[in-house]
Amino acid sequence: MKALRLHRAFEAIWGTPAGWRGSLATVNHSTLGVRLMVTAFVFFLIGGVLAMLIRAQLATPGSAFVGPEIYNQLFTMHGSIMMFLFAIPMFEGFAIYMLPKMLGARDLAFPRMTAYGWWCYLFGGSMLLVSMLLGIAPDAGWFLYTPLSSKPYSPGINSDFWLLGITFVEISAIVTAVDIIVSILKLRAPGMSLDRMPLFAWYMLVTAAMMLIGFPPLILGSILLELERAFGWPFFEAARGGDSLLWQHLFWLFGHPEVYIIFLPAAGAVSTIIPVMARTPILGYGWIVAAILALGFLSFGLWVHHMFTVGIPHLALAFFSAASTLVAVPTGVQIFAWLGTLWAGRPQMHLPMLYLIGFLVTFVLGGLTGVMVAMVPFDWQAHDTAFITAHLHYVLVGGFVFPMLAAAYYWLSHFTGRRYSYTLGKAAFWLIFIGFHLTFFLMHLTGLLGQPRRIDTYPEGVGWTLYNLLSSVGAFVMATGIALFIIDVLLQLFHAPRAPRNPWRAGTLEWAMMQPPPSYNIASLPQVHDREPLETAPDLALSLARGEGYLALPRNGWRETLAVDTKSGRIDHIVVLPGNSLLPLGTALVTGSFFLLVLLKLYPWTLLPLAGLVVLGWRWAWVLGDKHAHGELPIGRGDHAPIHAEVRDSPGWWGSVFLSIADGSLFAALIFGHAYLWTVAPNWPPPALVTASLPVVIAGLLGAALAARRSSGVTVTGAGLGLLLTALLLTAFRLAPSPTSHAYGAVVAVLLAYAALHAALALVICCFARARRRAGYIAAINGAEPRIARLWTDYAVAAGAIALACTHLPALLS
Amino acid sequence: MTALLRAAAGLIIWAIVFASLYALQGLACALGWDKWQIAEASLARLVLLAVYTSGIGVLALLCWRYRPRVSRRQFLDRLAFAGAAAGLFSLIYTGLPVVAASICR
Ligand code: HEM
Ligand SMILES: [Cu+2]
Repeated sequence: MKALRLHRAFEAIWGTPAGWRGSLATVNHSTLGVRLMVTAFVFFLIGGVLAMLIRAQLATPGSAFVGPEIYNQLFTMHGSIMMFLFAIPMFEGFAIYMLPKMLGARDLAFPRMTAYGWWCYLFGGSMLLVSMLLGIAPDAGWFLYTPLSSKPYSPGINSDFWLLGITFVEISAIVTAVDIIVSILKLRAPGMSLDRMPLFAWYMLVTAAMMLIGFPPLILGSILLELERAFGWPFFEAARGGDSLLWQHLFWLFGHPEVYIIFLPAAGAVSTIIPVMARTPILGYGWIVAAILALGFLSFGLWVHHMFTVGIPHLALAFFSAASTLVAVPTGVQIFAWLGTLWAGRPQMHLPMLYLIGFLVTFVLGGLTGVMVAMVPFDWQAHDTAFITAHLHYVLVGGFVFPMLAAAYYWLSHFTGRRYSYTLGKAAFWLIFIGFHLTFFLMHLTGLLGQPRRIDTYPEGVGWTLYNLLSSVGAFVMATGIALFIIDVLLQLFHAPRAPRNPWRAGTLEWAMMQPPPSYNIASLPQVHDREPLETAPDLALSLARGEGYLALPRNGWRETLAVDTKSGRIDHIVVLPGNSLLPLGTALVTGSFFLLVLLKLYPWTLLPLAGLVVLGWRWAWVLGDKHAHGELPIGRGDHAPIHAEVRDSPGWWGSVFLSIADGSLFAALIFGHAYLWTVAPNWPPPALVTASLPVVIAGLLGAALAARRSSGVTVTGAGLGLLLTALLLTAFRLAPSPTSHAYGAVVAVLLAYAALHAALALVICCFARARRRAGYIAAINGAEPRIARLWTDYAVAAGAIALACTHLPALLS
Repeated sequence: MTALLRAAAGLIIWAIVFASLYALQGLACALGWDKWQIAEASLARLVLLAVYTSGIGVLALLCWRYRPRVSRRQFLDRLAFAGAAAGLFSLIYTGLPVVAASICR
């Protein structure tokens, strides 16, 4: 039995050792994906309980169930948990579990990052839970508008919990997004060109790219607001040149793309399931790819529709109203592709299909009310009423919860290896569906009757009483449905008979393996010829298990998978992935202690975890790689390839590129904030500008030029960075006005700090590259490491030069 | 990677022009350009119209460059054209308000 021998050999390399140490150190994507999904589901249940409390409070007029203080915490935590701790981690976990399998790879590109992401999420989420248990949870609404959330109006620690906890969780989202993008672009089975990728991978590619651009503005906003709350830097305080609308811009620059970030992965699941249910290939693959690309971009042009009522000029209103109606087009393209596929095929009413119908009905209704509120005059009426709450739940529950329930039933046997027996799932569906529409359809009506959102109580006799009662009844019906779903899944976990392989007779690669999947996914990697490899080769799973594909021979105890050329899917190199390690947990703990110290206002102590992060980061990169070259290694089927340490565009390089894009998005948001305050905020110009100094600028630019030169050695680059850093620090500490005096000083301080931080980081990276070269690591000589050091140096140079220009130029010119 | 960039090119241009229009609107009002009349229109409107039409021009050119041809039958070529066309249509539609809407009120 060749297959069994291979299984044992690969399991020895890829497996997780038993015991708690193994569980803490594992970097396996299947394990971590499931962990993320389970954690996210627990948060869904917690958020759901909060929703029930909200509905209990609103069931009757004048209710004294909870007071306003608690009620504020209830809806804030419900919204924040559902958005940040349920929806995003849920689809991340799903993608982490599923993507490598669909792409024909053995793991994601950065397994330790995957683990780090999960730990950060767990710790950040726990911080928020602790605040709730202590009764000091955030209470300024899920978008934490200033000035309500600023110090004078929210003096407690509640908002700090939100700002720090959510930022912590966002770190996890950013690293996961990088992980996902690089895996999709590079870690695919040979022959899987871009146009043969499963649609789900396209959806996740666009989603992850959106996360890289969309999340940094919120991270920036949170940092600024925390700085304002902690040190009185007045970014959002009008009296000192700040502007609370800046918060709204930064929040919704993130917040609107966010809803598409949540919807797209679910739509990806829909696009995967519908053709299988309809027993026909998806209609309009190319149209769908174009539509999601367009959606990815357009969704960044709508954020101001959340601000229609703040008093902005007609022209801006019209821009964003137009863009908001426009996104309906690519969404419509997808819906027609799905309907067309159903029409062309012979749809079978399996359980996933039932949930998909629930999705289509609910989501389309949500889309319609979406177009309604995109109309400015209507929005002026409906803004901040229960109508909006109804709309957002139609989109979020319709566009995410229903598809994810369909996905759960569709892929359950993949996770469990058990056959689904058709019992409770149908009843659960009807309870959820009817309960949902009862709850939220009526909220449209109460909204139109004028019931504001976020009110803890309302008087009798304004005509909202009956609707609210029925709404609350609906919510409890829905909760019963969810409970039934849980029981159903548990029953299946423990009682159902074993399932045959590929029970739905689907065509994508995730079914070409054992169920549940082994730690290494596939004993050999397939050669892909079309979009549905299992359609043409139904026995692929067996042949892969027998080792008839690539990389079938375990070697050196390495965790190997293949990287391909992005466009064509030609074999590029072998990626040797890192094994289990406690570094992710350690790094997440140190990161967490930083946030905790800030929360407790022990600022001097934060230097400890910051230094710890530098040490750990160093170690993180140091433990990889070899000191001797391997050259071209055999990969089976007569082919050869080098390992990633010996090529210039390794996954590490691409990871750096995409991380720097996210970093650039944060910097761009900062520049936007600066320009915005300068042109729009009241109480400008500031009392004093930076004292311009030509020598400092020239010294800084000279340093930048030195560091940017390709031909100079590490010493010159380092000296250049040092000079740039000095110029930035001199400006910050000697020439700039105090950050507390005026928003100008505050923004300048952040700009300079950002640039100085990057200069220092680039210095560390250059030292690292040099130490590695001295130590004789191949990756530092022939591989990508010098290139990565160059990238971060160039980034630091650009950021430094821009920061110097932004701070000195205005004063030089005036 | 360049193939993907080409596929996104039209939409990237849309994003840049759309952001510029919004930014210029803010700037024009801050600098009072809406009060400078030139012929029938204000300076603010003329600037915005210039950006709008040149954006359309660039995107139209891009569509022409990426137009479907026999030698370009590949998926990513068609995607590049679709992206450019989507960018063009999006700009025409979302930028249309510069023609008539009041700029600073
Ligand atoms: C399980 C069923 C759910 C019920 C019964 C429910 C109920 C509610 C209610 C009644 C409110 C309004 C509170 C108020 O305005 O006073 C609300 C707000 C909200 N819900 Fe839900 N919800 C559910 C699921 C979800 C899901 C799945 C998501 C997101 C994925 C979500 C996201 C939100 C958000 C963002 C808010 C706004 C919070 C705020 O105003 O700060 N909800 N929910
Ligand atoms: Cu929105």
